[in-house]
Amino acid sequence: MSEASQSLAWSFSRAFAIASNTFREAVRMKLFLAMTTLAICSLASSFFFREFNFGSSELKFITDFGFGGMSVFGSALAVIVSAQLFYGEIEHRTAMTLLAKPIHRSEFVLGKFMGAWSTVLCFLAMLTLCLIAALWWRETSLMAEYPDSFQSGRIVQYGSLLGFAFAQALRIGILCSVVILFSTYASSSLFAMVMGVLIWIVGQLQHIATEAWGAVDSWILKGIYAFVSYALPNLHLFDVGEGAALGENLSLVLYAKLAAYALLYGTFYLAIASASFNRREL
Amino acid sequence: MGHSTWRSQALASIDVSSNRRIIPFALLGALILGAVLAPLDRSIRLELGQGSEVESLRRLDSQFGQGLSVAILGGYRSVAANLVWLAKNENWEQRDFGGTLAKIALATSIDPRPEMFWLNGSRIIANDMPAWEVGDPNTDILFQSPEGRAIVQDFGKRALAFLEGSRPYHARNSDILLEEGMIYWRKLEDLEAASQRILEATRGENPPYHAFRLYGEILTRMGRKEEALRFLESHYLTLPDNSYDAMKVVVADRIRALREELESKAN
Repeated sequence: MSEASQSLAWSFSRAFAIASNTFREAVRMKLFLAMTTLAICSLASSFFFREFNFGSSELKFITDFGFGGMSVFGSALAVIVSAQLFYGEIEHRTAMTLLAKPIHRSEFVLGKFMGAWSTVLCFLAMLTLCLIAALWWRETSLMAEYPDSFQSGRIVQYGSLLGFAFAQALRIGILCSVVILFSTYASSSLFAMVMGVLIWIVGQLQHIATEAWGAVDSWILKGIYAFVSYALPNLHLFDVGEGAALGENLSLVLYAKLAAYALLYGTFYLAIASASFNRREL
Repeated sequence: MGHSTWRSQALASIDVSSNRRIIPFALLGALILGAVLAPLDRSIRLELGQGSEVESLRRLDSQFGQGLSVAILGGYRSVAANLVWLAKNENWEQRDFGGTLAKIALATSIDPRPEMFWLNGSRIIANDMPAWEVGDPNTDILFQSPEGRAIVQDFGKRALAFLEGSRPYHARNSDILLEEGMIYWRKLEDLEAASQRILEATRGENPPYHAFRLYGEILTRMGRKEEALRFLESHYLTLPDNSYDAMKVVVADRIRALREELESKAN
């Protein structure tokens, strides 16, 4: 850290400037376009796979494909984009040019996080719009075909689709902050990506470690499960799509709790990332 | 030594590996944060009704490899459940009791919301499995001999136990309540329990028109004809004229027949 930046007051506007540059860079990436196209194709494929749908209603099946696309492709995009955008700057030495200016490293960390996160938010927004359009179109066709099944009006809870997208945005926010934390330690972007994917999988399974913790006798296993239960965020909490699409309206309090959970974890990881990056020699 | 000089020297002493020194503090912080947020975690899980997935994931891994587990964890839950249901058809064609039951249970544990899994699953257990048990040439004994009826009753009870699992997700689902009523009626020959379930079905969510006609019929079979007449008369008043499913003419004929029967008995 330069002497100039030590005496400089911390500024959100500099972080926003870095974020907007990062966002512009990210949306021009071929990967972003490829992921978005893949996710939309996955949603569209639900119309072709309708004949393989045996149990659930057709609308729920389409919704499930849309939710799966948001969750899987969104998480993959979060991991790759965060690692590429953060570590890429260190790898290509462009970070040195930027950090030579009067700027705090924590502003750089926050800016990169906001840039990466807003890129994935953009992806989520596009997929949500496509999902709403697909469901609206199909529901309208079904209403004309089977009016008796829709006597009380439309059955898809479109507000809940937005709720699911919001929950995914929070989950992906945690994931972006974790990948940025690992990028501050990493000596290659691959390491940051692999760690990000591992945290994604283990975070998704964290509730199983919590269940297993009480069920095993071995103290060593108990210790491992307890560590995983407490040290990692439970990303499964954000899987609110089960009842959200057709029927159940989740309370605003629940969304507020999820937001608080994500905010605390995200802030913690970014604080550690800033502390780590402050001490890193570039 | 001034404060700023001391700070500069301290910062200068930090080397490449110094950011690794904060790892123990980061881990400790993560553990403390996890412990602090544990009540919030529990409260969210409770509100979402997220149950245990250990058993269904373990069975998925052992039967289908880890691909489907990843699909579930990634969010493609109903897709995975449909694939399990599809795989079940092979066991069903081979009349494999264990495989069919295991996959029906697995499909409903992965995605318990589609009522079709519950309805078709219970029909396979209650209707198909007794025939598998005795073999196609001997299906007559299911209706004629006490041993055959015992087999039908045994599978009927298993189907009811299976449908009991749908309760947390479909407590007021008329189709499932009606299915239970029909199993009590046709398989266990317990008209009292059947009538209670069918009555519940008429009071459940979106009850089908035939649930009302069935309740009238079972009351008649139980000898409670005045009650059946009153029930069908009140139901008749709610029926629309232009719906085929409502079968208003059939209900009117049944009311007329019951009135004539009761009047002839009174005379």
